[in-house]
Amino acid sequence: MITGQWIPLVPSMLIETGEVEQVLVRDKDVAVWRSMQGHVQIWENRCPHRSVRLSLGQVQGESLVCAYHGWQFAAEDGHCQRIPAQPEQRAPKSVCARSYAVMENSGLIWYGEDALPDIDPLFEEIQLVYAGSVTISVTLSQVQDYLLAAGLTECAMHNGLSWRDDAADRTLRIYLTPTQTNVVTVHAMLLQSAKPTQCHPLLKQMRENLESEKLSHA
Amino acid sequence: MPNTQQYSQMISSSLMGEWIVVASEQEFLQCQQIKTCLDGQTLNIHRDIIDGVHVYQVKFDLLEADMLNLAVQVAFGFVWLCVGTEKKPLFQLDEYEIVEARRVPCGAYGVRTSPLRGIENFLDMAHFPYVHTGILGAEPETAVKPYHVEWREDVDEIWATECFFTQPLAAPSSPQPQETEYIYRVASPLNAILYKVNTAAKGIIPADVVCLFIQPLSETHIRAHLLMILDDQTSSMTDMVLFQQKIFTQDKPILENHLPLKLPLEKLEIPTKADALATAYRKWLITKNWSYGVHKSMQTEQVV
Repeated sequence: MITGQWIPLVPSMLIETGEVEQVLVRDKDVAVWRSMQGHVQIWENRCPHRSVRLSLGQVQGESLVCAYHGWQFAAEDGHCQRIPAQPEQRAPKSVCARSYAVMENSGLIWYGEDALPDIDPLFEEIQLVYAGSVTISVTLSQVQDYLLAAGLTECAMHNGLSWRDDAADRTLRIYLTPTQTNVVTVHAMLLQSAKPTQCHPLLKQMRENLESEKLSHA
Repeated sequence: MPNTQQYSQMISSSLMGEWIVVASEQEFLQCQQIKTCLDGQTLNIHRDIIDGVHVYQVKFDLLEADMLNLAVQVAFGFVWLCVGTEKKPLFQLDEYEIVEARRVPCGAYGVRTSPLRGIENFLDMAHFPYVHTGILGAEPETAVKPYHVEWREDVDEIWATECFFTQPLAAPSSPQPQETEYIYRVASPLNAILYKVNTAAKGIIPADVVCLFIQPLSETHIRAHLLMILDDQTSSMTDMVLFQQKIFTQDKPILENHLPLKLPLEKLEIPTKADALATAYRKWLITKNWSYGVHKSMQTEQVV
């Protein structure tokens, strides 16, 4: 069980200003969005009114507005600012969207779930460029075993979710999102010095190899 | 091979004794036999003509007909099924009998949601400016004025009256937003009717009627049957059906994105005064011990 640590969730450039997206992490449905001022939020993907996914909603300034009844929630803490069906009344203080700890670092958005994880002092900001993602239907440990066998090494203190390739390609970083119990999303990032690519070849290779392994064991 | 005891558990106890739509008569225009589904059980419906009258026979594929007491009736252009002893007779729909009124069956829509979410959405006005923008509502007229809700115990129906909502272009002739008056009637947990009061001085019926009759395919998959009974003598059938279709396709993505899909009857969701009718509906379901399509807090539904 990974607790109290940062989990790589999604590359920053995939969440543009004013956008909200649904992302799955550890079988949880979250809404990731970026306000007009550029602040990223990770919220439970559920409006407290009728449980409709907030990822269907719209970003308006520093607020996220639910698609169903237009309830408006503030970026800073998720509190409800406006209930259009009762425009004269103030929204009750208890009504809010559930927000999770979030951090943006090294070109990625990180998910901290409920506890604000300690920021690793060695967690320096590095300039990384996005080089694609794949989703593979295998367990996290199968992906980690594969990376080990491929000669990559875990980055210290990142609970097996951050990897580097000191052997073959020092510009490559691999980040893992435990999407669901049997689904992992693998993200490739490159140091700026590397030649940019839309989808690093390692990713496709990984998916082919891991999924064919699955089939051969079926 | 399941034993006879298991057969009676194959239809949820909540659905037993309820009159449920299993087909529209329109589905038989091209054929005499159709296959459909109720609570995961395959149904075969066969139409015959006996003495010039259409007679429908409904059979479950897996369940022995004599294991369950099945009753069938045709009403309002639909084939209705009741499994077990009826809890109450099928509700009345007086406007359907008025000869000059226009009866417009609008087809059935498949939606992956709980039947109870389908009904609640139909009973809700607060979403008009957001889901049916520019048609049934628009900003800044978003306020839902307080309305009256009552449980009519004699017929066991929930009624909401004096429901007013400001609508843009309520009539093609008037460019100003107009206040529309609605009356909502929940005839049973799976069947709801709304009346849109006609303001014209002279009308064939006092209100246009829109009916939502839900056929539960499973607890999270429905066929929503729609019927309109209208005063309008001039619009074409096609236009009227297309209008209703448009409204429904706007609701569908919302209905399919509740998390959970099933309706929670415990305090998971926060209602407002505008939700008075939905709150009454949920309380009513609780008094009936209704469990079909209801979210139980120990369950976690599949996220995807």
